[in-house]
Amino acid sequence: MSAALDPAVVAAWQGALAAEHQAVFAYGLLGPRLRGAPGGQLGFAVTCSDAHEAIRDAEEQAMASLAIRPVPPAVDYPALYPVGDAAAAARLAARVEQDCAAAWRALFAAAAAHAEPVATARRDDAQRRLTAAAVRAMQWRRYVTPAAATVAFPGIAAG
Amino acid sequence: MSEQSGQPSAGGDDEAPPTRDEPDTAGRRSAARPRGRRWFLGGLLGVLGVAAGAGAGVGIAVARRLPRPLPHRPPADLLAARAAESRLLAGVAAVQRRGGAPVVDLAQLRRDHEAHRAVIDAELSRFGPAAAAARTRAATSAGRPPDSLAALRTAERAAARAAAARAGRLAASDAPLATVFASIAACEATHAELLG
Repeated sequence: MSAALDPAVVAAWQGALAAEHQAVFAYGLLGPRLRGAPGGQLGFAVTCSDAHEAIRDAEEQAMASLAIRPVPPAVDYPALYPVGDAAAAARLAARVEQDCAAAWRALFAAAAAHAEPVATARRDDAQRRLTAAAVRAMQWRRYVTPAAATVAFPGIAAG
Repeated sequence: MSEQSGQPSAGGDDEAPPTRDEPDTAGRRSAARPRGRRWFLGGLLGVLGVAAGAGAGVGIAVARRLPRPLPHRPPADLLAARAAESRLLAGVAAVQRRGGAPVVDLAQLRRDHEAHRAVIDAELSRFGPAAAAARTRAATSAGRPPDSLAALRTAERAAARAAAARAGRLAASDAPLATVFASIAACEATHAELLG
């Protein structure tokens, strides 16, 4: 545990990493259901999966540099099942992106209350990740519900 | 949105951090207002589910939870945010009036901006009558609204950067409000992508 970072910030950061672990798992689960889906959904899923893996690796490295032990992925994520078809896969992708947005928003809120440079760095990181997850969630909702692809408060209310 | 491979972009996670190109008002706010206003975000979370994008309901419900109006002028960041939302709403309306190919359902953008403005208005309502005049002055200096899809996309992108910068400035003095602006920044980034 890092002495320089408030425990509440560390907990929120671990929560964000856990959401990223879930997203990586989810794309492995839902990807096969998108074969043949229109609009390049399978390719987009691969892009999203790559993005989450890169985020996971970067965050784990950042934690390690602060002597924080990163939370490991769960063995399984039963709440993600079942994924019956392409439409369900797209809905699940939107959901896991929303979960990521919420987790990064929580880190932003926790880090915002602290002025130390290490907390400020986490806050800026959280803002960037929140935005990226919100954009990916919007792209997935665009496949599912084009007239309601955006949400007013990503990471706070169903977005 | 980058469509080079026929797919949407994955969210631009490698984008540069938001710029901080606006005057610093956080210090003034901090001196005049108490810290730890967790009630704001708590209230927001409570009413957002009910509001579901509707503006007025959010503002009224949040305002009910607020303490007495403060005697001083509202912070410039809040007024600028209000003016920016009004300008974007005017831009959406202008593009809708122009018609043309329905590339994007703009009604969802309008709903989002109305919800943002309602929350900002709820916060402004704490400042009492002084807020109304300041709000009008800020709105008139916000500039001409965008009148094409391309201009609206550019405006949404700029608004996202400005909201993120605002969130950064407000973080030390008002973490809950900063978090709301962080979310608004993310929303406006999704608008820019949608219009891309």
